[in-house]
Amino acid sequence: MHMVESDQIIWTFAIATAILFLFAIFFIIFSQIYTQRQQRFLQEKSAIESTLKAQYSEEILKSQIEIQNTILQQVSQDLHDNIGQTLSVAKIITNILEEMDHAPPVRQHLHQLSDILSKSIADLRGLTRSLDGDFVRDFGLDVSLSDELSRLNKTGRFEARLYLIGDQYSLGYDREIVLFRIAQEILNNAIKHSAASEIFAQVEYGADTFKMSIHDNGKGFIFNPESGILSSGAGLRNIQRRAALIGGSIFIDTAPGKGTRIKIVLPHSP
Amino acid sequence: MEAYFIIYISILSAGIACAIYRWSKLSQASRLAALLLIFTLISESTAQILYMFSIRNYWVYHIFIPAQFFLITGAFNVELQNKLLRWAQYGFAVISLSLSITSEGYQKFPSHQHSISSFFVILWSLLFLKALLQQAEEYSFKQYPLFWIASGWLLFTTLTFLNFGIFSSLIKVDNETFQHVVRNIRIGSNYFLYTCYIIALLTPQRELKR
Repeated sequence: MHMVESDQIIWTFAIATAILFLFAIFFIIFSQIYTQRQQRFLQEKSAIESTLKAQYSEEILKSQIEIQNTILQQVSQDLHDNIGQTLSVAKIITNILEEMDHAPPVRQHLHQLSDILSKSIADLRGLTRSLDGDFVRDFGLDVSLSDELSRLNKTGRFEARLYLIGDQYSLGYDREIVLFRIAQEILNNAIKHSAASEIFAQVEYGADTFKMSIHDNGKGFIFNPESGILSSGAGLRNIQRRAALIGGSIFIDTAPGKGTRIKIVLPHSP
Repeated sequence: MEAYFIIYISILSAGIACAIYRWSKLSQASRLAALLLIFTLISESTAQILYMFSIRNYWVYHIFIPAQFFLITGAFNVELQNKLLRWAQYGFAVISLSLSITSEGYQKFPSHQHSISSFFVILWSLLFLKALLQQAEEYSFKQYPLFWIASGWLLFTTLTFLNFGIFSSLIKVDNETFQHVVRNIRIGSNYFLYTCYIIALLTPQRELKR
């Protein structure tokens, strides 16, 4: 009987210890499985959030571009219809006055006035084309860009040229209008900040990629490729966001005193 | 009064104090658990008083065990929303009462009821842990009050299943050391269970998604 009791004590101890041991193992396994599942859940959630965030940013950017195009188009239309009409009427009246008999100094002034009005009408036409997105739709990126550079040439402050490489193909209006607005932004930056005398644009139609680069010989700026565009100014970040919207990448090559080259590369599938 | 009982009552009282302090923040399951703590304190105190006056106190456990099962199953049912639990809540009360009247009477400890209750509480605990695993989300499992309650019950019921339940008659031995071992296992697991309740009441009260 005594042996039986002793055995039972041992067994009770053993069972209790075994239960505690099994419990420890059970909760370690439970904790590990839970943590794994939790991490998977968090990864999936993070991926969904990133996608939604990217989609949201894309939608916002698209809306911004659409709104900008609409406003610019409206401004272009108003310039053409109001100021353009007024200048045209002024030009007609000046022409009528020129045909009348006047003293030589008056005739000379009228001739100058006529020239100024002609230049203003031409500049206004160029400006309305530049603002009007329909121009890109109707004539394509190359012509629009060429027109934009011609306007710069006409100022006399810059020598601007466009180089076209490869057989031209259409990227579609949505991509071309974004590229055109990016080009305008880069050109505006060059005009305002670079103190450049030469601005060159190059459009390269490759089989797999489309490249557009704009290069000036201005004063350049400090750019750290490691910290990237995100640490740059709002203008460059805006250009990058727009390029990303159409699936493009942006490359910047600049240094103080060495000019600036900004290149946009887009994948192209024929 | 034994030190064991004073510690036991202190743990229960601490749990009730936590429940009162955090009542407005407690989940529905935690509130049922808090009610169970109050009921346990009343039952154990009554049993102790009767014991001190040398009056048989088994009848207290014939009421306590089905009521305890009713509340704990209710707490799990709030989270699991399972018809089986709803049925078990009332079914066990009927079975327990029948067993108390017929087979054992009020003069013995309700071992059968305790064994059946233990079996089902283990089942509910495992069902809850399974449900918790299936919906693993951004929150840690430690933030779910029922995780602590389920863990406490799992350990308590498995450790006391043999010595306190249906097999208690098989392992009755007059050896003092043996009784001491069994008693200490029971006491330790009891402390653990109600400490888990306190932790459960202090957690951020996450609930399973329905």
